[in-house]
Amino acid sequence: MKNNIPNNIEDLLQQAGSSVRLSDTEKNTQRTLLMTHIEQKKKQKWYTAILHAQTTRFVVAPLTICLLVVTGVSASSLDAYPGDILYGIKTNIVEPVVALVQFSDEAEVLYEKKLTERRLDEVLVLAARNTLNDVDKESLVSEAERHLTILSKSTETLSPEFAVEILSDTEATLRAYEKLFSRVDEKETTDILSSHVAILNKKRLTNEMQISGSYVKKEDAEKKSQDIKEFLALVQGGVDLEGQMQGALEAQAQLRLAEEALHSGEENISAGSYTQAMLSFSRASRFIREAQVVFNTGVYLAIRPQTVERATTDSIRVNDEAPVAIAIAPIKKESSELVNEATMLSKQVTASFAQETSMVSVEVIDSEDVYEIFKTLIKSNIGNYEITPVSVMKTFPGVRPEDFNNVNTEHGVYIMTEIGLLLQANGSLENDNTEEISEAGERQLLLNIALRLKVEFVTRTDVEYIVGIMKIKESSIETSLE
Amino acid sequence: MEQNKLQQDFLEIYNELSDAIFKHCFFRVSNREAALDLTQDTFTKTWDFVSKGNDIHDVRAFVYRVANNLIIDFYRKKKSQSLDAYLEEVGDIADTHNQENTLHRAELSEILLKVRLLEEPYRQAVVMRYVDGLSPKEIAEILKEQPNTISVRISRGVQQLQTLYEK
Repeated sequence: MKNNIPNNIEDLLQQAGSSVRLSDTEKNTQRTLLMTHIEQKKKQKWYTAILHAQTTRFVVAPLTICLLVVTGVSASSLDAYPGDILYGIKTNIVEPVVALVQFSDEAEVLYEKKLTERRLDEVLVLAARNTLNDVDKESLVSEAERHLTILSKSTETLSPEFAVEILSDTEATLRAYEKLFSRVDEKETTDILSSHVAILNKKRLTNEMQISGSYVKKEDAEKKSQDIKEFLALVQGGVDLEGQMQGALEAQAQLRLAEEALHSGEENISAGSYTQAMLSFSRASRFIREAQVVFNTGVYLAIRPQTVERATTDSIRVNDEAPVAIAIAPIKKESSELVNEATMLSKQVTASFAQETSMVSVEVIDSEDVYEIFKTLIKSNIGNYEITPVSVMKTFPGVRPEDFNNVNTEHGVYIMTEIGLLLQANGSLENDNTEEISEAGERQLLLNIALRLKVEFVTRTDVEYIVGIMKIKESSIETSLE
Repeated sequence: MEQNKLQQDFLEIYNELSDAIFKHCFFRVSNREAALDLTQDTFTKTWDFVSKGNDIHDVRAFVYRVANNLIIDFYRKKKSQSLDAYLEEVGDIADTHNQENTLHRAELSEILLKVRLLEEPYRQAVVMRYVDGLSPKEIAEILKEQPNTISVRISRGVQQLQTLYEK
């Protein structure tokens, strides 16, 4: 590489400094985040005050509580689980007060649904953390059942149309939770949910019978069709449709059923059967909702507790472009460290969601040494040559120079720059892509490619898939991944 | 009312210093995304400090010190955790909103790489002197060092850069 020695390094540094600044968008984003942080800190002070007031037996003025509610409920309280310091505030102060301000039957029912989901979320999170004890489980599940019972009873006072909607949505949500609980081996809770699903299903059908004879306007059916299409698009946009994670596969299946139901509804409209169309759209909505809950609330880190001792990993990362998708590598850690890390990451993912009830559950998957498999596959293709950027890119047309960014060699590291892939070694930068990469470098290479392709590699099949993609020329890869 | 004024003053501090802190972080860690996070964290921590009623005598020095501590933590995490190995070492290295366009992208890449190869504390001294535009005395106040020490670091840092270019 030709080094042009500048006449005046100081001037060059000053010019470089003036070339770098925050964009207006970045500044606005940072200001917004700062303001949010400032507001959060203020709210925490309210909660601290109330907690203090409780412990010192002061009476907290109702006006204070109302102000607290009106200014919005703190995410930190909603994020609290049994055992956390704010959990008492969440369940004994915030939730009852919020319940008081539900001023219609419909709002009350919706809030009972929300509380049901919250209690179930809490059980899932604790199960995922391996901190769920029998006492908490019984208490939380029984609370969830209590809210479900109130919800179910309250629908009797609602209009059949609204009752169908709320029962349909709750039924779909519970079916999703059934799947999630069975994944964390909570059979008892799964059975309880199944029984409630059956009750809700029966009530929904009864209400659907009531409205089946009623008159539905064509424009109402068409509007419902449009609403369902938008809902479907929204959830499809959030679900990793190419992903092979368990949550993604289940969600994809539900979304396919939703598309069929939507299509059926549109056919009903064409045939003039608007009431039937509404029922089809209601069915579509249930499938979409189930997909949404299964995927958004489901497995991201793919760690099953029973195999955690044999798990291995080098890297876990949240893919910011598709917040529900996480690229992972097999894990090598003590189980408690792994679960702590998973919990930490799950909070990051949860924080990035708009829905306050979103959370993640955690499963460990048995993993093979995928790096050895990767190396073997690479070697078997490049023959007797060393594994270098030159040999790899020659053999695998789908590999890019930037895939070698941060890839170590025995004596240095490859760095991707504006002027190409360079080797940094012995304090200098060389335009040399022929130095063999180290074992750590091989791992980094696999990680870089997997992140670029937005795929995970936990099993042999995953690695074979990635190596298969590496063999395909660039333009073909981009087409197939669309 | 007092809280509102504090908030207002703080946002003015952000408006005044955000570019400088970002630039500083960017040249220290050679990664735009990391620099953005470090800048955000710097001001968050500054707010946490002032909102507890603590006084700051020299705001600029304080904010630079906070940023410096965060950068040190960043270096430590990078060394000890292989989990961060996937972070790009050289991120988006040219400011897409550079209106002046005073430096060609290739030149900017090269100087960034050279600065990246400098050892600390010379890198810090060179960045604060020529990128941040601080005098050795100001740098010394911020880092609580002697001005002579800072001058020596700056000089050695520039010499190292020369050597890197000559190689």
